[in-house]
Amino acid sequence: MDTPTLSPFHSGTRHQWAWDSTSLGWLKECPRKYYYHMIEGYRGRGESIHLEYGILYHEALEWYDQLIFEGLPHDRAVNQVVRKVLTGTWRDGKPWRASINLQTDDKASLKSRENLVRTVVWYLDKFKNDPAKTKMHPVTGHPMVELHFQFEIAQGYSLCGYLDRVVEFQEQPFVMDRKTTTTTLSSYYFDQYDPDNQMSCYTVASQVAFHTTVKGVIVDAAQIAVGFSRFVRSFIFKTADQIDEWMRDLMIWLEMAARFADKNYWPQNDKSCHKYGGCPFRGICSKSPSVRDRFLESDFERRPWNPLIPR
Amino acid sequence: MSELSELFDRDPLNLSEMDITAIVARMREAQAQYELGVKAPVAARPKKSTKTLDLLKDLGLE
Repeated sequence: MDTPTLSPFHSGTRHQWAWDSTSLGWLKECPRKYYYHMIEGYRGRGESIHLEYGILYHEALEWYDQLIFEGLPHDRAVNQVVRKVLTGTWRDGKPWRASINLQTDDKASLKSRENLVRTVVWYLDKFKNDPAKTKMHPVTGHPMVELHFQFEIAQGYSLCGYLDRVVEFQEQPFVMDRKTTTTTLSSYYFDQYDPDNQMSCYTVASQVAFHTTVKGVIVDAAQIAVGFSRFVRSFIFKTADQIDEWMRDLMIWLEMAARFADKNYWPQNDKSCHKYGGCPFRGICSKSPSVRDRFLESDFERRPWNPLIPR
Repeated sequence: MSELSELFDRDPLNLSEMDITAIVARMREAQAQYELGVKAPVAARPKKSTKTLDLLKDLGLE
């Protein structure tokens, strides 16, 4: 018998008790965006490519870390990872072509199967002798990769999510977060992560869930472009004071989320629509409220986000 | 050696270890080519030689 899926909402309400950095990020950007994504479960059709590509990329690198931990030499581990990527992207007897319905000028079309294999091989070769070494779990002795966390913060709220990897770099512990993007890896790209909800959340999680006080987060970004993949590493430092402040602010955000749920109304933050690469619901919010539902049903699909479901 | 696109279009269950090695090798070749392109030495801009400078001075042009 299947185990019933746990809901991140209190039973029969729209009060969310299990929060991850994604749902919290939606709320902070715009309550209406949070409502469409989290409460109604709408997802833009193009969004699924980025999500799936990210998952495949993470799985490949996690698999490599495991194989190296088991003692496999680099080249053999790379071969096994490539085979796993090819198998994981073989769907219903044909290669995965998630970007087939996209416009040719849509940069998401760069997130193809071939570019995924290229990016994985180039990344693993570049960081073959990575100075950032995976830390071993203080209790299990296993490498600290793809770590699921869930812990109660206060008033019945929980924080949950995944850490890609916990590493030691120049004898200092850091969370490492791997990103894929089609945008150029400039300082402008990395500025978006400092300060950033996700980076603060990961720093807290490492301390509370894994008893590892980290200095911050290393963002390992991969740019996928036509004909090449490029990698840049950036460091985001977090002090204890900054984390305390983030936690204080978090509780206020959660109180606000509860107020919105009480009122059953999530207001638009119309100064956010064109930020963060543009909100996927811009086209909906710009229409008259009376016709929005029709456009939502035709332009979006319902795939509710549940922070409690493991990757 | 099979074409890369042909290898990608084949059911992964039918790919031999040699096929996988070939895919990885092609990816590494592409990386080496890319890095050569990125890191190709930039030819130094030609400088005016002393002789040219002297000549220009002699002609009253410098």
